Amino acid sequence: MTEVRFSHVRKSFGSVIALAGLDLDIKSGDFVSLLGPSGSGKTTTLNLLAGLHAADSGDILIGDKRVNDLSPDRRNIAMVFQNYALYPHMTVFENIAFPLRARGRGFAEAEIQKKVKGVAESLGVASLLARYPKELSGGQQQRIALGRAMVREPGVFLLDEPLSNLDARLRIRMRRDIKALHDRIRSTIVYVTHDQAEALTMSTKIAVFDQGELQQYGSPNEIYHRPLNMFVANFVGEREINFIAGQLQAVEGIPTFIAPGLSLPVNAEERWCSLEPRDAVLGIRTEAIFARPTAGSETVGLVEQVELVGPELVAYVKIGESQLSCRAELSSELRSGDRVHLTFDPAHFHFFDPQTTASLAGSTK
Amino acid sequence: MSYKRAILARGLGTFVLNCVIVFFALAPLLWGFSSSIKPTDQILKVPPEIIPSEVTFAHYRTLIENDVFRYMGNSAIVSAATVLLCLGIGTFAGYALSRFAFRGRNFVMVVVVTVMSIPIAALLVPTYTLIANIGLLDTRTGLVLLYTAYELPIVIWIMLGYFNTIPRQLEHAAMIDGYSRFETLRRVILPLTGPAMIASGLFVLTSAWNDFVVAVVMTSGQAVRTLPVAVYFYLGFFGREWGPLLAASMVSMAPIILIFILFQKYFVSGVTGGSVKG
Ligand SMILES: Nc1ncnc2c1ncn2[C@@H]1O[C@H](COP(=O)(O)OP(=O)(O)O)[C@@H](O)[C@H]1O
Ligand SMILES: [Mg+2]
Repeated sequence: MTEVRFSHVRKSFGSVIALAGLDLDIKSGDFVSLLGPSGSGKTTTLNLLAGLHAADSGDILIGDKRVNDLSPDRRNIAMVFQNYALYPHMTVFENIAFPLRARGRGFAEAEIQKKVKGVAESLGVASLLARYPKELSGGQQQRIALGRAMVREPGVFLLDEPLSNLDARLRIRMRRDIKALHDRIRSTIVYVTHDQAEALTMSTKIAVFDQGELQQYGSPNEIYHRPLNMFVANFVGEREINFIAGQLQAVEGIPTFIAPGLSLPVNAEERWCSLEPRDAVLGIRTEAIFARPTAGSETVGLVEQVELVGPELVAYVKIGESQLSCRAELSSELRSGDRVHLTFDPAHFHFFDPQTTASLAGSTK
Repeated sequence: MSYKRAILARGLGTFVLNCVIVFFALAPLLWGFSSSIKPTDQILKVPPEIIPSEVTFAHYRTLIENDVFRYMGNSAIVSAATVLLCLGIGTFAGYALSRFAFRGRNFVMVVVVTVMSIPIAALLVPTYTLIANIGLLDTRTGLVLLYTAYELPIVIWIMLGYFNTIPRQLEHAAMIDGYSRFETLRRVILPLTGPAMIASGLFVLTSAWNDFVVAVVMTSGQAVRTLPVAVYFYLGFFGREWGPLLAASMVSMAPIILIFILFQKYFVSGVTGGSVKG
């Protein structure tokens, strides 16, 4: 039972503000991803939690205990580093056993043997125990690093971009392995990544960071379907979201989004929809716009580029001043230069305030 | 075909060149060694014999009769103590400079570099006065302290550079695994610094073992005389007797050569240790 709490935690390096007042509550057993672009303060957050950096102000709590003044070895945490940080002069066995041999842990040699073997077996690296780290592939090193963190059964696991040095296939497999690991051991996990797909597939909660500030904290579903601002909407998702600047206004009593070449009725159930005209930015993901060569809607655009994406196509369509990415069926055989009709799924409209970039949906909550 | 021949020719050329270099480097040594085991009347014979027809250890016996073991012992004690002291202090200093941002760090680094670039000759007079004042003239301790003072900056610098190539994450990992900063240093970082320690250790050892200038200024008695100084005095004592003189040269060179051969592998990897991540 180990929850983690940051309250008003600030950290700067010289004039660079790495973390500007972080408040974050992590429940026991949660798998929380810290997601954000490079330099957004994710690693800093993790290092503060690990005790590798000292916070300038604010409190960090691990299970009810304020740990600001505890050294890393007294925080009951384990960490997996981006470059694995395996000890090069020790065998795999010794690497995994290292945390057990620390002063004050007092494990008997037989117990160490048993624990290390158990962990190695559960990670499928039992045959590698006698090797040195440099004799292992990247994926194997990764597993050893995980094993070294697991062997102590810590309250909190910290992982700093643990998959970013692996090739794409292996990364996807390791995602599932780590998730399975979490399902099995049920420890609290704090996982740093800049890869939104990793965050979405593995986490129970995602904390999105930008420029040292927490942008949104919620379940993957919330983060994906109800982004609180334009940054989150754009950062999460396989490809960039389409932003269209325009106006919300009532047309014949129906709230409608108007932009050059576009006039889209909005789901009137949305509570925030007033009939007052106002400037707004529509954010809509690729998968919520469908392009067809045949007539089907009044919205017509010109295909500029087509990509084959697995089972379907993604077409980049020029409409008014904007270029929108949309889905299209493989059989439609779109070419650049084709005229297409676009249908929009109003259930996936996200409206933002062009000044504050905050979501209009969030503002009335 | 002609391509292969070109490669062959180049290989041959390199080989010949290497042979020439080896000859120039080793010929004096070999000649010196062979002369040191020739009877006196054979040494100056023309043409000289590279492989002596008659072998004698008389010259070495002469050296032993003239206390060579004591001088070797002095040199060994002084050199070993200097190496230990330099590595002991230099390792910790290099680690601190590499890992901690403390006030005055830049100043310390500048001092280290500056001291490295002052020629020993310029320091002789002031250090002589200093050593005389604290009563360490004519002692091995005095020599050890001076050598350490002269060589420490380079050791600090080599160690600092090497620590900088060791990722910090290793220490962080060990600290999170439950080890204190000192334990981390002992169990994780120091075992990785072997090559740098050997490289700087060999460097210090050679300078301390070979030093003549400092030793001849700071010592006068026979009790603490080191080997290079002894060789110099043999020169006056034996005059033009090449046999004992060459034997003395051999005796003073052999230990260093032996140690270099023993540690050669590590020495090379230590020198390149900064550039290649291991
Ligand atoms: N040790 C440090 N010294 C100086 N600046 C740092 C240090 N660590 C991080 N920073 C700065 O703090 C900001 C956040 O960094 P970091 O937490 O590493 O970002 P992320 O892990 O999200 O890429 C960056 O602007 C980075 O340059
Ligand atoms: Mg980072």
